[in-house]
Amino acid sequence: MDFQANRGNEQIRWPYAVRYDKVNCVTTDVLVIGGGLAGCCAGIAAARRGQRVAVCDKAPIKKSGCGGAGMDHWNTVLENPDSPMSAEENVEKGRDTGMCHRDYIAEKGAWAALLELEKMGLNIRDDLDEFAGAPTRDEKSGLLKAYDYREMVAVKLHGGNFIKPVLYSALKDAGAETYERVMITSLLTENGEQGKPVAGATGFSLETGEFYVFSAKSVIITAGYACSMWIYNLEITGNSYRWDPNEIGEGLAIAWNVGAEVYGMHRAGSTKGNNPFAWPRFGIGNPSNTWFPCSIVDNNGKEVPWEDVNGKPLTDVLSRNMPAEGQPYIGSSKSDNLSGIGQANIIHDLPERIRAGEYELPLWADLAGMPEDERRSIWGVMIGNEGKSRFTLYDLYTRSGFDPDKDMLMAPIEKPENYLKFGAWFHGEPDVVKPWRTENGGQGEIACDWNLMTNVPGLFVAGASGGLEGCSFACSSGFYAGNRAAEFAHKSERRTLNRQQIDTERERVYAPVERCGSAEAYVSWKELWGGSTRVMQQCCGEYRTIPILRQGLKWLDSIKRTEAKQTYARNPHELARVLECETRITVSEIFLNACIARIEAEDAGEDGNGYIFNKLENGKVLTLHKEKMYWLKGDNEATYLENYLKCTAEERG
Amino acid sequence: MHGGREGLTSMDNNCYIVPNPSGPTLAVSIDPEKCVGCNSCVNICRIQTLLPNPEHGKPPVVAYPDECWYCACCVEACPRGALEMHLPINQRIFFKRKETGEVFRIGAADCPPKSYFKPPVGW
Repeated sequence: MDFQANRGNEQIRWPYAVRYDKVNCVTTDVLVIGGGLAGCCAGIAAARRGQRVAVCDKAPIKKSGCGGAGMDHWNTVLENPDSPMSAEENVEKGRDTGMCHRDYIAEKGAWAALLELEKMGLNIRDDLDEFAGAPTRDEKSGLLKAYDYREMVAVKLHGGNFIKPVLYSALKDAGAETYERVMITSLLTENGEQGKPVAGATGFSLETGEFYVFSAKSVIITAGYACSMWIYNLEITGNSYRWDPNEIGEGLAIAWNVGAEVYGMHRAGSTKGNNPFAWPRFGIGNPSNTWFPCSIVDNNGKEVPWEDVNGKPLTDVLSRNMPAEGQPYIGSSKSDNLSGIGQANIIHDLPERIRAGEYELPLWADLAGMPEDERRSIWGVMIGNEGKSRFTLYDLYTRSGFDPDKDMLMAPIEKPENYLKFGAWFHGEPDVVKPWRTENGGQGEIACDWNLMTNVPGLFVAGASGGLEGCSFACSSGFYAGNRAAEFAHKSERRTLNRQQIDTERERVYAPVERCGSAEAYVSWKELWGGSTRVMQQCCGEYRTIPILRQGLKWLDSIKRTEAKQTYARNPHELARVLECETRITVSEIFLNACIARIEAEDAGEDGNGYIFNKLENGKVLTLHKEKMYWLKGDNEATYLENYLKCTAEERG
Repeated sequence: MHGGREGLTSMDNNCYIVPNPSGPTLAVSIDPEKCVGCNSCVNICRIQTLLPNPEHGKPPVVAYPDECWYCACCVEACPRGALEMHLPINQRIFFKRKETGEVFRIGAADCPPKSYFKPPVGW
């Protein structure tokens, strides 16, 4: 027994028959990488268009991905008949956050996607009339409105926990093949060249270790965000971590490696997110998001007043859900992309009033003091269906005697100013690990055109991989990308796979198994992960300069040539973890290069005039400058609607 | 397409689970009295925290508790209610009974008895 096998732990025979040397060849028309919300919807759409579809996921698809643990809000249903604003009006008035065309595509389909999921069997309405007469309920449709009780823009997902099982059944019914616990490691292209049309992908099984070669006419990447580049994120942090730990950026890395353009990657690590000391998501007293609009009282039971976005005091609970004067509606600033649609909040001068002694900490979320329908909505609909809260929070707290009819839940004790920050309520301790507390969100995306296709012909993107976060945008963009990829596959010839590209990748994939047992291979995947996070913490923190960023690239390169060649894998699970670490190094390089490009553009005075893209060409990192709103210029139509209608013409018949 | 061992010669197909010691909590515990070894939990686990027991019919192996996301899909999947998730909440979640002002900590020995029995909406 070699030292890698014996770490003082017991050894148990691997429960699956392992065949590292076996190669499985799969021929399909549309290959979907990632079987989460976006991936399932993409697979369903493409299969319904008559294409052969294969969907791969590292996890069992029935509950995989961020949405697999449940969902509470379905945002931005601007196409519903009672919407206060059209998607066109929304995007025209919206902020220029870059890539507004893909926001618009997702907004355009979010309502239809919700109705499609209902047809598949998702229970989205209050069909048992539990909320009859309650302000949250739209009496006409039986839907439960979220945030805004006057306008219907966001919906509470009654039954949202079951979204993945419903999609999984529909995916199977549509005839898609599924490859579960198969991890995709690379994309294959024509002649094995960067920027050439996509031809397929390689992967391996996390159970049997067998190799997979997929031949496909089009490929859709729906692999979520690229998380965990700054934080070695195990154990104590898994509890608070919002994103599926499988989301480590394979989609981004494999697209980058074949020459796909990426956008906005310099923003990584700078905004919202999770930190390693965070509280359980949704598991602490909170007036916002899933807990909106829960009353907050101080330690003596004194209620903290609320005010609307204009600063006008609100006197009753219901007024928190009514648009303020001049507000078109109350929505989610995340997906609606519109200024001035924020939610009411507790008073803006609370910190001063706490310091003056008017309110005493800790603060408590007063579920017991809420009207019954609102209490049931927060604890029963939202906590009862949102990701990672049904069995953990709802059941655990209930077992501990917590009773929403009688009790109040404590908010974290913070310095008073923090209560004006969303993060304090959400995950606590917002300033503790600031430079790298973010792992996602605003990190940028794989760039795409009006078909959600990248610059690599046949390579499509949907969901968070394409910057479209949240369940409604994931599903909506998934359906759209599935249709476009099916149309592309229908028109395209199958490309020959490049033998050398496959062989090189196969050698890379199995190297950690090959070297296992040798004296040089003493690095575990956890140490490799730890190393690359140190690079990012040091060289991609809050203070970024070109020399520091370049040092980071050199540092990563030395890790690639040293420790990454010493990392071992004792079974297919460990092999996946090692390869994820290699992916993290690639993703970190993308982030560092994007930061360099950004600073160079700022120095050249080019910042603010357009959008900065990066891509790999012949192994070199290129920086591309795209002009403002380029998606409405050149070969594109002049308006959002015209472009949308053009791209969906075939689907609509 | 090739399928043999060409180029890849020293890989051992005899693999072992080398379970990690648990992290702050057990992540998930399985009641051996209730478990029938159906592997429903294994087959839903996104992270392979749970792996099948090589001995057929025996409770799964909690192989990688430190990698757990605590999504509890395994708890939901168990047809016999044999699984319990242990969230590492670090003994820090408090609630207060509005009427009496008593403060309790989730999971503490002196918690009041369970008094809320409604299932979540949509269940």
